[in-house]
Amino acid sequence: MRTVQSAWVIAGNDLRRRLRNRTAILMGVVTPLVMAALIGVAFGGGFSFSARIALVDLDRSAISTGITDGLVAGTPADAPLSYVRLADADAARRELSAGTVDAVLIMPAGFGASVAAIATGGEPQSLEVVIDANKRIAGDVTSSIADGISARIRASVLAISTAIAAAQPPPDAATTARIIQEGQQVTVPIALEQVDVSGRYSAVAYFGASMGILFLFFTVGAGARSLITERKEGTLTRVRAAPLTDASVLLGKSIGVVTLGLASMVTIWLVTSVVFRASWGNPVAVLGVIIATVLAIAGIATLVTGVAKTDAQADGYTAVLAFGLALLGGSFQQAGSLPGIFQTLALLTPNGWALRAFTQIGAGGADLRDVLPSVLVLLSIAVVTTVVGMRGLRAKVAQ
Amino acid sequence: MTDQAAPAVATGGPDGVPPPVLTCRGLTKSYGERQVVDDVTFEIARGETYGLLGPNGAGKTTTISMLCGLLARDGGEVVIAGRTLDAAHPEAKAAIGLVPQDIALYPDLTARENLAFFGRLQGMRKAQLTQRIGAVLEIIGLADRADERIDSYSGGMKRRCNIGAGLLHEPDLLILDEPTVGVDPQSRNAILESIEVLGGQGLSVLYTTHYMEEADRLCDRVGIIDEGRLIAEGTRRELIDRVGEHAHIRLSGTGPLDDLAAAARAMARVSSATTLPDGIELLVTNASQALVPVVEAAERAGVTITSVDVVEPDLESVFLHLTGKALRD
Repeated sequence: MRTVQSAWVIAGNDLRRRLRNRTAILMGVVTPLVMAALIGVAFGGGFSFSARIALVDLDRSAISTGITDGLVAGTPADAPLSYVRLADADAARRELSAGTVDAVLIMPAGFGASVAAIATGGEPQSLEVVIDANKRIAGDVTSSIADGISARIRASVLAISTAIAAAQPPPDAATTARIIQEGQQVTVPIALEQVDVSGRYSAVAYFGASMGILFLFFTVGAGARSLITERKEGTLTRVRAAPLTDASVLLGKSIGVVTLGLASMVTIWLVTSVVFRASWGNPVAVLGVIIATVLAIAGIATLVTGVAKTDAQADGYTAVLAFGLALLGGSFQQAGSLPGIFQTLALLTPNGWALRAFTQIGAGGADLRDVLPSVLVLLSIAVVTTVVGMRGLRAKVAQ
Repeated sequence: MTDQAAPAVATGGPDGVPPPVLTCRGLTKSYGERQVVDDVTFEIARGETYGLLGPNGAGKTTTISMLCGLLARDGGEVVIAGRTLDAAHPEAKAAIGLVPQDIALYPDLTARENLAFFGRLQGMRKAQLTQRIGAVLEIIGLADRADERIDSYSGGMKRRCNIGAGLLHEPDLLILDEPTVGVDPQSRNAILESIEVLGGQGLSVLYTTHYMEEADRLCDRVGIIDEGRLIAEGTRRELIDRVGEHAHIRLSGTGPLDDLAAAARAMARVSSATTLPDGIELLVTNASQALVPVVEAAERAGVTITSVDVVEPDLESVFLHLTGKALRD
């Protein structure tokens, strides 16, 4: 029988049994939702997150002035982000060290000219973002703003290039300069998109994700441990007596575990979005981070199951890991609000990386490309733990 | 991904004799220094019920695990229904229906769901599966309770369903690993009857047990296994003939039974003597002449004899004769 077909049969059986067991639904969906709702209410429905970003305009061109004016003027008084103009980069760095600002966005001298030159084949200068390692969320949000500015400039340049190319006959230098100048005016509203972050940063969304991740250890862990249980109860013997390889059995179990984890997280995402109107942000990015997170935790569950000698031992390891990593990773308190050392420790955990990515998406309007580093870290955790764990599992299956 | 086909071996024997349904040659398995299966070789013909008889820990389950591809063998070859079994070619396992010693069913699924799952693992298509599930449920007498969960079944019903799962895909060889261990007498008899019926229908069966009377009742041929080695093989008659003129005496009593067994072993007509919880078991060359000195020795040793049974040689006698110990040891 084909390896993959057998694996799907095994996965289907596992899923049917898990979904029939109300404990799995309770642990995988209901409990995280209830906890997220309770903690979300305790936080008043949203975080008291705020960041003060220093804007340093070393260029003082029409473009750079337009950007800074747009950011400052376009930000409502009650928005979580506020801006302060500073004269030079050194002063901004001192303010950052003193903690009076949370991040710095620098527009270097010649920035406007380089942007204007793109249409005629020039290279743009980079925006510079200076962040405090202990204020990662503010840093992430500032980086997202810089990315947004770049994206808008690229769009404007494309419009300018198209206008020049479409002009018949080809424009003279004066006309080209006029088109570019008109195009530069288009870049001014850049900031309006960036300041609209307050309504999307919901505590229910954050704790929906954090509690979902915490309980993934138990739902996904239980799925992985079913291999030990089935070995003890004898059904694994009968499964392995069928004309299939051990690889099919392990693949089937893995498909079941990952599907269950995905179903759990996606349900939490949908319910918090629909019932609590909590926006998690860009759906593609959210789905990407959910997949990477589930794979990472499935890998850890595989490792635990591979190492543990009994299912009771695996339960013990899972509980310690789940709550230990949740505490360190910011599952009970938003990581950005923790002291610096804890923000660093959070990045030793899959929870920390996942929540960082979810926060970037929800609070900073990041897309999948922006959270790619977090996704890659989570996938690396998944690969390493799965490879090591599978060695133990293979031995267990063949015993 | 497509699995490669297992290498096929001869499909027809000389003189029109069908090839054996199972051939295992030189099976060996060790765990560290301990050799648990040592060069085990036997064949099972089509339609034959073959018993693997041996005490607990003799290597029966390890042998079966290697035959079913559940355990990697250190050496030897297994050919099932013409196909060589190895880890890379699991297709040969399709010819086997395994009935493990423990109930290998999902307690939270119904009998029908269990059978459907294991049938799909065997690669059965929907129409064939539906038909076979119905047929098997009739055979095991659970058709009217097929949609109840296994954990609501009695022990006997679970045992029947456990056997049914092994029969589902119409295997060439049904392997039963001590299916009556821990079963009440009524259920045990029902299981033995159903195996007799299946054997009568031409199904090849490999039956492991440490109950001599089960092997005696069910099996066309018996292989006696002890300490990982197949020490004798043949029909019941052939094996008993090996004992020759020996008789089997069971002497029940109380007192220093070990002393009595030791004294008996020193007697010329006693081939072996084993202490039991309530007496001793002797294999002797002439029952009438051997009995008197044994009774005298019991008196000297202070053993109070409550009964003496002289029994015709049976498979228990054979085992005692070959190993010097009782099957129950």
